[in-house]
Amino acid sequence: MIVEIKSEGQWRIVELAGDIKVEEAGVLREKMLDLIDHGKDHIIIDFTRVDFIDSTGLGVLVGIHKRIKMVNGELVIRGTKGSIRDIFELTRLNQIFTME
Amino acid sequence: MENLEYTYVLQSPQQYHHIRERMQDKLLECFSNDQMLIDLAIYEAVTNAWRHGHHKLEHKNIIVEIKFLRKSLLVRVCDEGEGFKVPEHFRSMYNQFDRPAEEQLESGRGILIMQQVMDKVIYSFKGNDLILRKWYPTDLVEGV
Repeated sequence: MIVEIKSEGQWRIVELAGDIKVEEAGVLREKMLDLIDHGKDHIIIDFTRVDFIDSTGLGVLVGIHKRIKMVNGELVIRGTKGSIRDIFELTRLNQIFTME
Repeated sequence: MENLEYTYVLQSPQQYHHIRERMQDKLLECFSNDQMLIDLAIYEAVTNAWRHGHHKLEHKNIIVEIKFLRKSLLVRVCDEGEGFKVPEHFRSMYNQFDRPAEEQLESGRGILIMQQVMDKVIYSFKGNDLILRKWYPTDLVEGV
């Protein structure tokens, strides 16, 4: 699910792959909150290689976004395309997140 | 379009992959590029049944009936739970998605996805029996 976490200046780029659904969402939440708790509060989540995301995965992103906002950080969603992008749009989360 | 019917009894969303593997080719044939969204809507129905109907217990049955009819896909998902107050839930759900980012809730988007993707989303009065319908794109349906 999390393939790699890279650094670019103040940003941490989290590359995801495969499915992000109810089984994987808890792990994603823990890893992201761990990053934020260690002061890494500028995060880009790269969806280029994601095949599937469900509402639980989206809910985790909402929680991460709120936590990052509380510490004045920034969350960017990158690389969504096709049906993955459709999911962000039909749940209106494209209006909440910064989408690249 | 040839009729095709499947019935599955699941205890958790982890078992949904059996359904996905079996109907993947048919979904692609019927809905082309939208097949992933249809698959997601059915998965959300199963997840909701498990999470809210069965409180994540895995000894209760979720019955999933999938019918590829001549002009539409019909899905029925039933759980053994106590159901929920459907109108009240829908009202509060829609209010939350218009709130600013800091007031957004993490949950509730499963039903939103079902409603946005499918043409019909009908809950029984009790709320533990759900029907989803999606019409095939008209260019795939003979005589429409």
